[in-house]
Amino acid sequence: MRNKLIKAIGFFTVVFTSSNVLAEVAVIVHPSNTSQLNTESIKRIFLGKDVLFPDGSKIAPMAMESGPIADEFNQKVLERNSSQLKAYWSKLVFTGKGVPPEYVTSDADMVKAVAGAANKIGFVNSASVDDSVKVIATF
Amino acid sequence: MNTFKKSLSKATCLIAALGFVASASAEVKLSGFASFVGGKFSEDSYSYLEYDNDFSFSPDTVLGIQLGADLADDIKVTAQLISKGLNDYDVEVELAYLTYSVNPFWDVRVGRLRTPLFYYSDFLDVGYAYPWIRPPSVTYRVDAASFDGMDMLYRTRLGGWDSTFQLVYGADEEENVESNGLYGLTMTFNRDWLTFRLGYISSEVTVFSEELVPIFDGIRAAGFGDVADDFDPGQPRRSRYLAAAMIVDYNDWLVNMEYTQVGWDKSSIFLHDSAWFAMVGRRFGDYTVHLTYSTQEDDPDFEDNTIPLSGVPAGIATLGNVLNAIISNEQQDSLTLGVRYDVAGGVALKAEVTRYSLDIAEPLFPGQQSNVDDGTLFNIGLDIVF
Repeated sequence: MRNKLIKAIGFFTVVFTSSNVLAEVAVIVHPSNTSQLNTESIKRIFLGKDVLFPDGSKIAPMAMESGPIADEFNQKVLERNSSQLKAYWSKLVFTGKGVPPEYVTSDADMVKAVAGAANKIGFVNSASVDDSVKVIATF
Repeated sequence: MNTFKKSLSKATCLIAALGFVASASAEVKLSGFASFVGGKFSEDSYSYLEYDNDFSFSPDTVLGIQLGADLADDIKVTAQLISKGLNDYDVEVELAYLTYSVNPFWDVRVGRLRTPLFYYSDFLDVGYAYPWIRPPSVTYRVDAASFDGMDMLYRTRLGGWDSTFQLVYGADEEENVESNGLYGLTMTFNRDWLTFRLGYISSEVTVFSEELVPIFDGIRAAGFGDVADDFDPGQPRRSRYLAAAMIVDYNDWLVNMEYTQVGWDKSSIFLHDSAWFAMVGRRFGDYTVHLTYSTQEDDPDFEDNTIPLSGVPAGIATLGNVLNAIISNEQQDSLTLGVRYDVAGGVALKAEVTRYSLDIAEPLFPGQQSNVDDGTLFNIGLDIVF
């Protein structure tokens, strides 16, 4: 019991320390998007398991393949490192059973893309968010 | 049936061509994978998985390019070109199909598709997507990678389980094997760290073998036409293939198990068997260590060989013995210890040692020698996806 407690304290210390050090990730959608999405829904969307928003429109997820924000999002929300995620998508892409998110390479491109289409969802460093998009979750 | 297949092959070419035409108007997505694998088998007198005592790079080395283009919102074409060391690096169109998305949950695909025999069949050539250099070959023994035809994919969520149902129908024609009226159903259920897969496939198989023709002609000439028809793989026979798999990926622990079974509506001289494997692996950061046991055992149909072996002219007894000798009754085991190192996203290094042994499955036919072959296979490999 005590061991578990110590482990839990250790875990939270690590989590809090790392979130202090690392930037905050903001999940963004078009301002007109009224969807309420919890972490599990966001995870399912970015793994291609959910393809429709609650209102029935088709989701177009946007992601970054590498970089600190992508690593943080993959680890915290998708619970996979970049290699695991690459293997996950390889499996689906080369069998024609899934389509990975569309990739962009910068926060600016991500904000621009999400601001430009009602069905897009993406993630950026919180510091890069502006009025053109809506933040629905932060990690 | 032949006409049906030929028109399907034409359809396949057409779809491939369409893909390239589409490149003019639609955006073509290019992705690819490659595995560079070297290996050496411990024995001189026989080889295993095409490896012998000399270090070789060809048996498992593969390069693949996938082209995909959206022709419309709900229609896309996909083609996969593959070059394998095993085929002298000839470039072959392994997959070429048109996908029509009825809605976000229903896909209908027509063309050349993967035969969904095993859990890893769909991405057998994509080494990066699994921990080994290759899935355990003692279990992955059925060599029918692709077929011409169609499938329907239906995705849904059943009580928290992400479920995929796949119906396939088609045919396949290889150099020595023809497969007609192929149909099957696979079901995959996934929830968090747990995945189950069930599959059933049946097809009417005809095998053309010049070595077998004189044997079965002899048996027919001796008046045992019914026995010849029962065993001769040159006579079409329907296969029944069953597969069940469980895949676990929990807190860096990996457990994979797969059981498969092949049966026929007639007696068979080969591939009447069952096989399974179990793998336990553990991820340590960028390293994955895994141990796999795999076994296969034939279920020989000696009792259906009713050619008398005694009290008949020597020629007839010889035919009976020859038939017994070509009925496969093997038993194979393999134990593989391997490590995978994820160098970077899309690049992995692998090393593996496989202890393989070939034995005799009971019963022995009269006079059969129980010979045991075994050996150790060493492999190193580099897998990439892009």
